[in-house]
Amino acid sequence: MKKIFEIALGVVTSVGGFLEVGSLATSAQAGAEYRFQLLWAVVLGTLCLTFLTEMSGRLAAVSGHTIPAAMRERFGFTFFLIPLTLVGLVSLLVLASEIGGVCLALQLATGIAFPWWASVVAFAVWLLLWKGTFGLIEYGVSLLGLITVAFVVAAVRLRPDIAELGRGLLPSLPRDDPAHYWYIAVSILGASITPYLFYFYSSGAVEDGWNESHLRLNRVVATLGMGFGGGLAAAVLIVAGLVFAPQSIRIESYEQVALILTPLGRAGFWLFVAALGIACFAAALEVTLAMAYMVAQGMGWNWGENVKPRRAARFCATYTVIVALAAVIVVTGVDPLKLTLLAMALTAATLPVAVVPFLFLMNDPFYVREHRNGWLGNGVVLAIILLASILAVVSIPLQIVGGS
Amino acid sequence: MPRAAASLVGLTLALGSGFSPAPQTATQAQTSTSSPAAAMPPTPAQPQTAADKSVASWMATAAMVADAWLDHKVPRAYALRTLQTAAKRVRAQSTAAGAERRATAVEHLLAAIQQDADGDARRALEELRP
Repeated sequence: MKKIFEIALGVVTSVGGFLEVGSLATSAQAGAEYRFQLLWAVVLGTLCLTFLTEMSGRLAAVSGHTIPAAMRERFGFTFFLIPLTLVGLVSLLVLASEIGGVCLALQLATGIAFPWWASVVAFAVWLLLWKGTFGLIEYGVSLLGLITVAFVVAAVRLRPDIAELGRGLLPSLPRDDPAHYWYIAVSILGASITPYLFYFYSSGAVEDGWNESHLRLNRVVATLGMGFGGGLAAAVLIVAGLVFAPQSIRIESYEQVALILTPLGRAGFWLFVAALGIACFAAALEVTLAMAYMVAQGMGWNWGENVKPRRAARFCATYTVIVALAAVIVVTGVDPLKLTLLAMALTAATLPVAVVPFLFLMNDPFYVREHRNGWLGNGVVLAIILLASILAVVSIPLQIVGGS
Repeated sequence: MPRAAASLVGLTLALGSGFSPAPQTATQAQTSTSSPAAAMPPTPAQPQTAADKSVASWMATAAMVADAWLDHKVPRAYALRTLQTAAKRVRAQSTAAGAERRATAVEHLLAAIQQDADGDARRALEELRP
């Protein structure tokens, strides 16, 4: 019974934590412009993330190491500086996007411009990290994130054409503006396979004291949780395809996305505002923690959300600085949608650096003993590395050519 | 997955051109549905520019916001802010046909909602739809 409860809680956490400003923006844009034609990108991104998340949890459960700690130990500090710098900078932009998402939700609710909310939201994020425990963040905020299931309800009620949905699962080429099509596809993949998610997941496994007895739980949580989370992103794409595409609405601003749930009636707008605010707030907590974990674990400092701030002072100082920097970006009034899409494209560009270490770590008996990757696991990691390398090469040119 | 990877490999080609047509795109779907006429795409003989698409998109957004406001589905503050953005974005697309006239139509709608005048808003909404 306890295991079932743990699984349910883990799945809920994954579902609640999956949908954030990046997947929301990219899925809405994809649906509005290409109906269901980019559904395959959401599915592909979710599959990649599921495998990497399962591996992160397995590494943590067997070795007690998080991904950043194992990277630093296995490859040395000099190598570790590369992912630390690249993933760190991109994650800062992602964090600014998430804080911007919460601010936008508040702007939609109150009419007060989003930059005014930046410091309030950043303080709330910091305060919860300072005072809260890992359990509160993991379960409390993520449970609230279940409000994003409203997108699934809307997708079902709008009755999409099943055959067209099926066609969307197979990659196809667009009739016009291919650069823009691929730009959105790359952004969807960037929004799905975000390194912070598996860094956070492995750190969470260590925080929760996972060991080898948790391997089955890890597999179920990673598969079901990420699968349901991907389903939410797919639901956003489907609803956008049914609500915006027939009206020729291209998503150029979050204000347009706010109309996505209006087919649900008078509650639709407020459901969207709540979903955006809660999902982005949960993601902001996760990204901030993931970045602080990465720095602290790489530097060999004391770390832990369950540890009193005075016993992990440098860890707490790190997340304090990170939240403040992200808030400054939002205060400048930079267009949140453009910032989000840029952050997602850059995430795609840095993926190889984040994924290549998996190939070594998950085959090293020192870390995973007899739980090493089989042919399937290694094949998937190689495929993800190939995909990540292509994304890394094309994401910046696409940002320039197709990002408008 | 291999198809996806293969498609992505062909991406560099996409940056130029030379794609075969897709089975269905949103653009195709758009032409078969009723949308605000002010936002209607040009005929096939006149390919849409990025500016035309942006204007059509914002005009449709303005109409959708007005409809939602009249049905009490969105708050007034949101409707006003979005219509201001729509008018600004439409006016900024100076190369699009009728951008100025369309921006003015959105501003009429904005003024009506500012005054909480449902009747005026309905008339202004009709103005958006020739």
